[in-house]
Amino acid sequence: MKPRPEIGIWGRRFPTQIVSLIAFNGYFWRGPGKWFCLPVLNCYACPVGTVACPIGSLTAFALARRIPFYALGLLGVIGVAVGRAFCGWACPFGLFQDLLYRIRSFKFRLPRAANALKYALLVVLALGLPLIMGGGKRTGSEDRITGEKTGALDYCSLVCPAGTLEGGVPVLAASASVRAQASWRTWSKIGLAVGILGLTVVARRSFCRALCPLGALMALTSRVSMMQLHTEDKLCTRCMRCVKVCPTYARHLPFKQFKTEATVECVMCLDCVRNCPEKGALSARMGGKSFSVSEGRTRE
Amino acid sequence: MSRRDWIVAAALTLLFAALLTYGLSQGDAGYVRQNASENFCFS
Repeated sequence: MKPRPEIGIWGRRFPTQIVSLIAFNGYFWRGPGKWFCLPVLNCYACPVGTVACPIGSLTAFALARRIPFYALGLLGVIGVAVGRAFCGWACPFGLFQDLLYRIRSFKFRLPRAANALKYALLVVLALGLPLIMGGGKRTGSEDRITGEKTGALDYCSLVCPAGTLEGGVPVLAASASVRAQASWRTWSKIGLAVGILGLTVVARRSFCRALCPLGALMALTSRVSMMQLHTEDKLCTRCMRCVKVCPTYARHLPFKQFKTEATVECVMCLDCVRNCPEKGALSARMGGKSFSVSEGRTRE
Repeated sequence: MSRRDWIVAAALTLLFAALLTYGLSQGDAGYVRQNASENFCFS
């Protein structure tokens, strides 16, 4: 008898990720949801986004030198309620990373120090530079394509591979006029996206851990979130399987030395709960009440 | 969750809900929608 070698993307999470990919990228349906910020990384301003990406919204507010009360409040309420669960269950770019990591290749872990990079990206590229360079002016679509005017030095314009993958590349492929306006910045951003996607093949959820400013923002509330993991010390055998399957390497070892079960990198994917070989040893709790408990299922 | 955790979570929820409500009253949602509909963040 050995524990199921389940990573988790073909489990309960995969269907919700597929549904969110279709729902948040309206290639066929736009809907009226552009005013609503959800903590998933889908392209904010590309024509295909059905909801507003919080990073794009924060950047827009920084460009206009306005305090984003609405976006911060909405993200805060969601963060206190469910932490980073959207990263694990709904983010379309998380799905891409999970799928890419299934490719057989050399694998390695990013060092923990890399986690800090996303905070720098949040402060500098998503908020700081737009605030300084924007000059209180909103940038129009023409500026963003050519990148010639100020205000284009932001995370969305320079880095975001989700926008490139889900919005930019399809638009480029579909429109000859947009292709004609593509600059060296366009192709360098595509190259960066390819590099980031390549990194996710060898390092699991590396983008979430090191490069996602939305993950950094949501991590600020995940420590006080009502959704938390809980280990029954009497039942846990310290087999460390939960630590090994964790996609963001958020689980602590050994657990008792820490106040919390996982670091702020935990995306509540519950792969640890599903893979725990001891029945009832590990559970996910919402407001102190368990809603998912390890079943200790094994495979012959 | 301990009692302290509940209090912290409730206080933060109220704080963020207040920010959200104030932002809505300032027309932030409309601004978000306007930007999300017009801008094109792919440089």
